[in-house]
Amino acid sequence: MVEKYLIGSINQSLERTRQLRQIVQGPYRREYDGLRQICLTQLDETRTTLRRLAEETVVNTALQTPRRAREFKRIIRQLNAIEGVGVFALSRTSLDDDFLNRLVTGVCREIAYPLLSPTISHMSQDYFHTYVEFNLLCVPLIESRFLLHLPDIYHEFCHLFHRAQNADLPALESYHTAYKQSLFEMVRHFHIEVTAAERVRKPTGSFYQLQLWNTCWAKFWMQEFFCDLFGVLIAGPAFAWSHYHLCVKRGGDTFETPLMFESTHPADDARMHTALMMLKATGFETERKLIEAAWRDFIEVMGYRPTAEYRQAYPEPLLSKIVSVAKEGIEGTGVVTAKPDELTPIVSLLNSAW
Amino acid sequence: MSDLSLLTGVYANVESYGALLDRVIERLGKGETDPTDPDQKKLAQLLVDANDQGLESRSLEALTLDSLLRASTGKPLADLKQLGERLQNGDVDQAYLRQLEKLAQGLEKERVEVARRLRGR
Repeated sequence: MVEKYLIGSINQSLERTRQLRQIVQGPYRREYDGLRQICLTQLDETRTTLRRLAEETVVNTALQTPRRAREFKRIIRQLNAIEGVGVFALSRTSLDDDFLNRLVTGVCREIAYPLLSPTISHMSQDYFHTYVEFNLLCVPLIESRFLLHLPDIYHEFCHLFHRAQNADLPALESYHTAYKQSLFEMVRHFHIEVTAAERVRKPTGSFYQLQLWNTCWAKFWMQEFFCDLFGVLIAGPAFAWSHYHLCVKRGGDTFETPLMFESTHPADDARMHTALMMLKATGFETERKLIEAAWRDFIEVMGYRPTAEYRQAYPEPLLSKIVSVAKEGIEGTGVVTAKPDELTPIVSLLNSAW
Repeated sequence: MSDLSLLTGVYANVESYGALLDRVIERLGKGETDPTDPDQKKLAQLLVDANDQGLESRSLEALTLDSLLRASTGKPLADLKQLGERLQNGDVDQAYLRQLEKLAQGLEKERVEVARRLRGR
């Protein structure tokens, strides 16, 4: 029965693929060539897999059907992403998108960004984010008319370093070495903490929390910290201000620490703390003091307080180590970093805005 | 800055490891256990290395796989090393095949959860 359904559904998905390929062939400006090529490549891969599934001889349904169903689900998710992200971005390009794409190309050139410039679209329904597999940055509908959040674009640039295809690029070697070193520093730290907790027979809940934070770091947080630190190194104080701006407008408790289930983003205070450490390391001492004072005032006004769990989840020596290792790794890629007496034009504009 | 940038990366990893597991399970299910098969060899090593989160081998892939196989509470799975060693020796009976199936189901659960969060925006 499932096999009968699969055959019909696979054929309908092949027709969907065919129609999407036609849309990508439409007339678009040159700025979107990269995105179009990615969409076409992914549509070809989708078509190949769907055809293989359609043509496969099913002999043993007990063995083949569960695997075929899982494979079908994976390929449908890819097809949905192509339609809902890549082709959708292409189908709604506007004059604002054209402007922002030219700006991003300029930004990439200015900072000697070591990868292809991403495409950018005003299609975000929330905040800045990146579809790594489409090399596509998304910002809210009229974000390009304002300057104060724009430093977050640099953070998004760094997520693209984590695209699987970019993992072995020579230009990113120092970055990935630093990232890996930091991850294993973190793993080692939490292994030591677990051993210590066992020795003093801490309650079971403490182990679970250590395991939870370890997983959050490995899965999400380390990447987020590295992207922040990239943002600070390239955009300077404007990036830290932008984080302040976002936290005041949209954030919750700046010390929020997961206790039972994983969270994708690290605590805002830990993020600001590492951003301030990076500003200090790069010589922006005056600006660092100013931002730190503003941050403390905000925390005081809101009545946020760090908990013991917060300090355990974000240990100071680990944060400090990550900042120094990330600095070396990011500088090793050859990107143009911000210095107090030497800012590139667009970075200078963003800092002036703040 | 939003969850999407992180979740799309996690999704790609789940898909990649899920496909690897499926290929190995299917071959083993046909009675074709072969420790020299590239997929079986790769999965075996990953499982062995994932036992200590890739710390000793410095395997980022093992650390990533471990983080995906853990429960949402962060609780690690037991016996990954033993399973990996069985694959390395080509000594995989029905009980170990069922364990591999469980891992595949776990990754599928994670895939559905990440996809749900991606859709939820």
